[in-house]
Amino acid sequence: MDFDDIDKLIKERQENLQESRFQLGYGIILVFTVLLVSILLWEDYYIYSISLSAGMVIGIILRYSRLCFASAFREPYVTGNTSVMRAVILGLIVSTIGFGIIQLRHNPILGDYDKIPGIVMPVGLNVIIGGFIFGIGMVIAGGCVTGLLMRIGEGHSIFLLVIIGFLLGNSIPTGNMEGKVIYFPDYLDLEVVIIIQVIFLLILYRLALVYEKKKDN
Amino acid sequence: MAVRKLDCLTELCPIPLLKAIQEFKTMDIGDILVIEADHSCVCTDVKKWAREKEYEVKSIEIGPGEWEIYIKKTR
Repeated sequence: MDFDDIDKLIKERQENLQESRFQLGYGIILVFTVLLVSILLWEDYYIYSISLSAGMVIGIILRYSRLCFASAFREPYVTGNTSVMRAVILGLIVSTIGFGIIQLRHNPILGDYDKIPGIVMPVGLNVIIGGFIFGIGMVIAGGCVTGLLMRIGEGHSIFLLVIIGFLLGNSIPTGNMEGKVIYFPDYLDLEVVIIIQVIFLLILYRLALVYEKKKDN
Repeated sequence: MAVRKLDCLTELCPIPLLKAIQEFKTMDIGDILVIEADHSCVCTDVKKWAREKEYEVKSIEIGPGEWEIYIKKTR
C-alpha cells in the first residue's frame, strides 16, 4: 500500500497527541459580541460600527487565506510561483476601480489632497528608503502588517512586542512627510487614469504568467 | 522507505521551504520528509510548493501553534 504511507504516519502521530481544545464556541461568542456592539454603536457612531464588523470579516479572511504580501514578492525568486503575486495584482485592479468610482463621485478640488478618499501622499526618495527598511523589518519580525495582526489573533504572544515597534514606526514618520504629491487626475481625466492603470496592471499580470512559465522549464 | 525529520521550529518563511528543498535533493524516491514548524504560513508555503511539484503532502496541527507537514518524494 504505497500511497497511504503518510496517512499511516499521521495516524500514529495523532494517537500520541492530546485532544486539542475545541475553540469554535469562543469564536461564536466573539462574533455575536462584535455584532451586538456594532448594533449598539450604530445610532451614534456608525463609522465605528462598520469598521468593527468589516474588520472582523477581513480578519477571518486573512486568517484562512493566509494571504502574505511578503510571499507575493518572494515566491517568484524562491520557487518561481507567482500565484500570490497575481492575487495581489488582481486586488490592486479591484481597488483601482473601486477607489476610482468613489473618487469620481467625490469631484476633487485640485491641490486639496487631504479631502480625497483614499491615501494621497507625497512621493519621493522617502518611499524607496522606507520600503527598504520596512522590508528588512518585516523579515526580522516574521510578518507584515496583516500577518502580524492575524497572528496576534491566533495567540502568538511575540507579536505583541512587534506591534509596539510597528505602531511607533508607523505613526512618527508619517507626520513628517515632505515631497511632491503626484496625483494623476491633476494631469488627466480620472476615467482615463483608471483605464490606463488597469491596462498596466493587466500587463503586469500577463508578465507574471510568462515569468512563471519560463521558470518552470 | 525512510522517514526524515526536519526541525524548523522558530524559523520563519522562507527558511523552512529552502531547507526542505535542500533536504529533498538528498532523499530517495519513496522517502518521507516531516517538517516541524511553528510559523503558520509555513504550511501554506510548503504545501503550495509540494503540490506544484506533484509530491504527496499533508499537514496536521500537533499542538497549539505547532504543525507537522508530511511530504513524500514520489518522483
